[in-house]
Amino acid sequence: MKRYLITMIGLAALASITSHGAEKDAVTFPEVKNWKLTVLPDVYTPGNLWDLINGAAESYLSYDFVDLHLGDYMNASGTVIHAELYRHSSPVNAYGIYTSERSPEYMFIEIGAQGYLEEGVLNFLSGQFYVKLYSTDSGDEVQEALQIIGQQISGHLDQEDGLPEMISVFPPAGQKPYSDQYIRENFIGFEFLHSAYTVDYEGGFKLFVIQGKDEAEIQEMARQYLAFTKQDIDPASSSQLTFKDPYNGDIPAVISGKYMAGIIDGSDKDDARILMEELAVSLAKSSFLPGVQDR
Amino acid sequence: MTKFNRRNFLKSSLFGASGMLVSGSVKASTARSETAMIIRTLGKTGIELPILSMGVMRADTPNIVKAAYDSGIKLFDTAHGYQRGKNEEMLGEFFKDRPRDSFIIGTKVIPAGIDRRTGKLGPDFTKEGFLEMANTSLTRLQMDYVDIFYHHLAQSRETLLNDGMLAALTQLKQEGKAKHVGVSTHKNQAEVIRAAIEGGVHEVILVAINFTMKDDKDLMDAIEEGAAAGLGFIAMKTMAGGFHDEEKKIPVNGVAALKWVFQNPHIATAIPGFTKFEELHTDLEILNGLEMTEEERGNLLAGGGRSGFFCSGCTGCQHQCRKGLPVSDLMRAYMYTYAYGNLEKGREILDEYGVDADPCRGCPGCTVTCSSGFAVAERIAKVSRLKDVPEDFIT
Repeated sequence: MKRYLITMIGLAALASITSHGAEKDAVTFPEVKNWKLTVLPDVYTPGNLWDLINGAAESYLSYDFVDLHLGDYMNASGTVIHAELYRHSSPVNAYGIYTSERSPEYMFIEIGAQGYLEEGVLNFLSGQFYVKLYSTDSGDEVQEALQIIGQQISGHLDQEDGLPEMISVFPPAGQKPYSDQYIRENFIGFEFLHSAYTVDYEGGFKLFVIQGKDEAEIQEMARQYLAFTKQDIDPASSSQLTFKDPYNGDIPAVISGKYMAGIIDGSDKDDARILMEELAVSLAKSSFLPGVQDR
Repeated sequence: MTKFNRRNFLKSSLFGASGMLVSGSVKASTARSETAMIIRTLGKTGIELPILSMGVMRADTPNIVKAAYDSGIKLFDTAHGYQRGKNEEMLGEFFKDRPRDSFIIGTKVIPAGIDRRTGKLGPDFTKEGFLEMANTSLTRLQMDYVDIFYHHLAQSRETLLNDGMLAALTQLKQEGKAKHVGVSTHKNQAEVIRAAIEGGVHEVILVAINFTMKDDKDLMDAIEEGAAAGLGFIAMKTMAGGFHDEEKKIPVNGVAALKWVFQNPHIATAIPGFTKFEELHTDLEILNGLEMTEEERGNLLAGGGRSGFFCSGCTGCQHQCRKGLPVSDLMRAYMYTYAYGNLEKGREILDEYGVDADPCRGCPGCTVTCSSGFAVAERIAKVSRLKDVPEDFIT
């Protein structure tokens, strides 16, 4: 028995290797009236998510995926609703992968922090979970069942629901609905820019905010970007810069303390610049925003 | 298969560092950049591809696709399911105004009704459903056809040779919606490849292959057999997870990993997933030649000179163990268990060699010196504990 326990402790340590050290509370599924729940024994981790979703796993891993739990709900008539609970290391990472797959055209419903219902599919965000429900059956009953089971799962997970506070800082005028995103790595193709929040605007441009650990990190980031674009400018000399990026075009930006706000695909648009400055002012007042603990 | 046999530098690439190959047997790419690339032919499809292609799955900006396209990369690989279709839509937007013969698109569909855990097709799978998903992909891509259409995630002969699936792929070709059809696999790969040979429908195999698999003789044999039957091979997962160590502090040398893959002449191209311009730049270095430097070889063999996961199979440890343990195989079991989290495979190897839960008991001290620097005794002690775990906890 002692040996068995030691072994299980060892395997638990092994599991932690692949979970990036995130806390791993047990994940359970709720019982739902009139639906028989089968919790599947397979729990997928970063080490084997490929086995289940193949190349799509890379995106999940890039948002610090922790584990995936699977359950099936079946009713008396044989309809099956499959439930997948993707757990990420933090709510902002779950938000990141959720928004990377979300389209503004979907039919959004009130569930968790945000969610949408499509034919045979209900996906939603709840705290550090990205929840996916689907069925290969179709019809109104299935759509209704997805919502009933989804709401029960949402309640059962008991997460603090909400979108990242940073999204609320973006100017609302002209925002395209459901276009907000969090890019966790290699923003616009550069490792040194690491992560960013973005929102699309009418007029075809995008505003972004990069949040550094502190002012020095943002200054260093700007220095690296200017070095890449071969611009001989000291970023400390002015809070307003335009990066002459050969790949992404001109990127106007404002540095405001530990934040950098900027524009993509809108360097020639006056309204974009006005909104960027508005965004920078909001950021300057937003000392309440949490640090980037999730990168 | 490789079109170039001589190289010199004629013009710098987009990044100013690529080689170009020209001679009688050298075929200059008609790429956007004037950089020639090593070209290989994709089996019986006859498609000629630069050895470097792009897996688009994680690219969240079209500008990185543009940079790849401008640098001469021709094949762009996506899938119906990547980002719930947004990945295909992004490629569709990018390519809609570009000459159709200037790029090759590969996309793949995981059939609805598949049990993704077992890879088996369930009763919900229908040919019609699969074709509908294929049509959705074409709509998102804004294209009349794709160059390579894959059955995504085939894990067994049974799934690959499913009548409905073969009929769907055949119909896509007949209707001109797919120039060529293939299959993507990364589990039971040898079985899937041999099934493709047997079925005679598939033309392309998207195969997971990297330097950690050099001792997988069954897979290498299957690739050889497939190539002889005219199958074209495209490599994925070439970076083996990107790190040599458990703590993810020792990165795999990407160029070395690609070079290793192309030592196999049957691999026509690879689809690393670039998400930053620097990665693209680095991977383009492979155009300078496929010969590995000592440093690159060292990185692959020993995790940058430090202990990694992957046993090089040098057999130097043979006969070193006082107890006659199969050290190299136990290192493989350790890799499956700790690098891939595949406890089942680790246990399988222990069972195969009759290794118990404490194989080093009674040994006064380890006499094995591993050329890759593995702490052999420690790893054996860790992995052999799997024997103490009830089987139903593992499988």
